[in-house]
Amino acid sequence: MNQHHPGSKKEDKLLELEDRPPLAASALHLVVQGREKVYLGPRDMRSLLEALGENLSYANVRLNGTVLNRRDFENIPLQDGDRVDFLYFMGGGSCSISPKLKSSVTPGI
Amino acid sequence: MFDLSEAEIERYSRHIILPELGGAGQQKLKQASVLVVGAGGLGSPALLYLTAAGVGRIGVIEDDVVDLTNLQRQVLHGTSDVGRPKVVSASETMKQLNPHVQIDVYNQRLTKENIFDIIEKYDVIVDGVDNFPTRYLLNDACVMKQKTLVEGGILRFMGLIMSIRGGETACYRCVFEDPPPPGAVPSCAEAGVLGAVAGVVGTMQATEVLKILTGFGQPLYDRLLQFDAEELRFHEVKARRNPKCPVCGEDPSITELIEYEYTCETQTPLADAGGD
Repeated sequence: MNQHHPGSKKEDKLLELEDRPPLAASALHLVVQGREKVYLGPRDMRSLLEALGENLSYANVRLNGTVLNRRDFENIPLQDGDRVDFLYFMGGGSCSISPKLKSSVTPGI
Repeated sequence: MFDLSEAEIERYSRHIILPELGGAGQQKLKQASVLVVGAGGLGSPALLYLTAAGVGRIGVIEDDVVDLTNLQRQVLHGTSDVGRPKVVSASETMKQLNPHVQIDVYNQRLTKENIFDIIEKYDVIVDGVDNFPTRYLLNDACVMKQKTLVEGGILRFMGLIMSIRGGETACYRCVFEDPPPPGAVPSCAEAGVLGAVAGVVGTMQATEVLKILTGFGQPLYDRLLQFDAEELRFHEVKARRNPKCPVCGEDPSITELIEYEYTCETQTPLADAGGD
């Protein structure tokens, strides 16, 4: 399992629906990447992402359709029924890029 | 005006027999023009299927030469093409496949200086680039000029595709507002890519173009489709227009084209020579 790959790492805290044990009081039903999951960990986004083994620099995270600010993950509570999607950046070349702009002016548009 | 010859009717007979296309749809394809940016992993299958489908005029823009490491996925090019400009190799393959198609060749990189002049000549643009600066440049230009863009990206065993009607449906920045931090996302040269994944995504891009040009089906507007080859799953995410989008939102901060700067954060012995 590579850390970059979505969804294939199955942690104890994140189970396929059919693998779920007798429900603990703390269990959350989530829809992660379109698939129903039972989550047994702390109820915040950062803990969920850690359980998933997601590389946070690699994807945008959406909760119920809203893209989250990555600085706020610890403060994002999870609730039963939440939908979590990862939007992966794909399509870089051999170089990364700097957020610094080469130029912001194009004459004659 | 765009009547099909007997040879063309025979060539495209499996299209024409489809009620959703028919002769009228095939004529629309002959009348249409498509620009494919990049003749690499995504551009190869996209160009092959668009050429085979009989799109009347196809532009190819690419400034690279064929490298041996490209051939595992860039199926437009052959072993004897190593070292040759990709646009030359691409156009030769395309002409051999379908001599009825007019091919415009641009042996250059897309820049903020030339992008408007080039994209304005085409009905639909296909993104097959291998870097984020050009990806964002292309998105922004297509939004500003209200062009239709079919986005595609690949990495390792994953792919994504999204169709964008510039200024009308969610654009790439509505989903990915800014480029990833430097070094955050590895390239195909650094992380690898399964060649066939490029085939899947590039072929889906061609499929989207054919739908958009002829009007059948539901294009992938306001939807982002992610493909996971390891588990062979597709995951669709609704992509609404973002009112705060810096280029197509209500108060856009990007009103003129910008080009991000390349910085090679990671050195790799296998420099990726081609569009992905």
